Amino acid sequence: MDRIREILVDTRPEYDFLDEVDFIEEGMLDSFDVITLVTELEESFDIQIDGADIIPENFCSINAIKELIVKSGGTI
Amino acid sequence: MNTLVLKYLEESCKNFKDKVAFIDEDNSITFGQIKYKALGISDEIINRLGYTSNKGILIFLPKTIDSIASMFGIVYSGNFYTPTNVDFPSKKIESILEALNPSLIITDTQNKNKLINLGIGDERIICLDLIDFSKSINNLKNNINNAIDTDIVYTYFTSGSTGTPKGVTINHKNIIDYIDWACDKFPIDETTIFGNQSALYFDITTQDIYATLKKAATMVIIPEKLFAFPIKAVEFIKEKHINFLYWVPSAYINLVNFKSLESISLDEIKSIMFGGEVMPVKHLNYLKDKLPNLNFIANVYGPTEATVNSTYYIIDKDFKEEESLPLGHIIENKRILILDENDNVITQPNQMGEICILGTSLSSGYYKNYEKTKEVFVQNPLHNDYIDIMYRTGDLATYNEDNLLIFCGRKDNQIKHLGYRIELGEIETAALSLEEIDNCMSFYDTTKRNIVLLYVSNSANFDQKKLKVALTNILPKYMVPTKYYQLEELPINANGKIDRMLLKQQYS
Repeated sequence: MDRIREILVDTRPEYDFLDEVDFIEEGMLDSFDVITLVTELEESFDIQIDGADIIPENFCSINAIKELIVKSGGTI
Repeated sequence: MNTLVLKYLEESCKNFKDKVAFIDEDNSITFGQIKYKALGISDEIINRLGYTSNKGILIFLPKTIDSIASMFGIVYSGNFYTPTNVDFPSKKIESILEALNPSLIITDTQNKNKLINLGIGDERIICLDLIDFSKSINNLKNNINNAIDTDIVYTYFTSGSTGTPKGVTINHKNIIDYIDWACDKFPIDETTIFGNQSALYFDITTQDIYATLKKAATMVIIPEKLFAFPIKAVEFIKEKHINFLYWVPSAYINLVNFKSLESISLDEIKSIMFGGEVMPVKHLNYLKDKLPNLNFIANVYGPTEATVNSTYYIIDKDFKEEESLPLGHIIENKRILILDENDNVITQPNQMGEICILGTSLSSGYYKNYEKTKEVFVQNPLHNDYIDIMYRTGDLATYNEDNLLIFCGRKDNQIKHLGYRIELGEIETAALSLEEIDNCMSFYDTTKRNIVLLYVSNSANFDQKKLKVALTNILPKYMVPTKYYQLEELPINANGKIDRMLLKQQYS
């Protein structure tokens, strides 16, 4: 979990990425960030994220990202 | 004779008045309606400024139909437009304001405060949502009858190596020279629906907008936020029946890398074009495979200074992944000279030189920047018989065995990232403006498509996160480096300069 937060903060250091906020609704991740984020997650967790899974619902919270990593065959 | 760009709109209004011209996420507008709206904006401008010519007017609005109506309104008023991005950091907006010194700024009530905070007075601000659009069309003032084809239509600001942006001025005849050719050469007609991806301050959009006017086509603005989740962009393209895409390669690459075309078939796409950076053949081949009704593909090249494009290559054969796509042929009514270091013309294949462009489409230079203008807009070095201006692009190329131009990189430290033209010097200037930074060097990692910043800091507490946040406050998002390395010092080469080559090798 901490690794996910770390990657998020590296992408957008101006935010804390707390549990209670919706990253997408708050506009914390734009198109540049999602692209960086997907690449970093794939490298860091040695996974391949399916194109159909790159949707806002899977990036709105740390938990959602965690589930996405697990779904993509990674371990946290 | 068609000498002014708005003649395209006038013509389309005759036969296609009620046809939809522009569509954004929430609205659509016909040719007739956008002309009326543009005249309303022109009327308001003339009420403020009087009848003027060639005054700069900044558009500070989100990317919607209103921005496009503002562009036409400004041209109807006899003046020129500079679009910008409401999400730019205030330092970037300040530098554009300083270089342009706009007579007016068109914005809306929602974004007005950002301008007020930058010290812009109310007298220079027009809020589009407060204009009274109920006047009769016959009472709306315009100044188009006084316009000539060397009047400026727009000024787009590009990255400058010292941090001061350069405003490329483009006039009516520049645009018409390109658009008339493009509409002739490319499959564009009234059934064409363009899916616009590029920013409004980027000249790919010039083709989308003015080809739409000339051919009574339709242009759909694909909302920028959809590109964060490319599958959403694909769904939008399908829903809006978009059939023509002219995007930067990075945008296509993301569609491919995110496998967004696996589950949805874009069977209405007939034409794609790309330019602004190198398109990898691997990604192109994937697109060809996934777009079942694709029958027109073109690779185009050209600096903003010579209006949209200067060369084109229609791809009608298969390329292997290791091959590179040629820049191709020279566009009609332009001349390209490939010059070596001694300004000798290269005509033989496989000899590298600088691409230099001549012709009607050449910009009249950088706005209020004679120094920079005369560095690159120069007399044709082959003769001194009369004034014959040539633009030195700084791009390097060779001819291949088939006499097609092949791109070979840059003479200087300009890079292309996500389709944006960026001077690494601008990034370094921004970093050096921070008191914690003593020295730095930036380069582009072309394989990983990352901007890398190597820096020396005098503060133990100034970590990468702080540096990135600080740069985000100065530079637009696409210029902010994504990889950072803190060093004790930067190595110096034999000439006493930072050893860029060595560092690039070590940190790629």
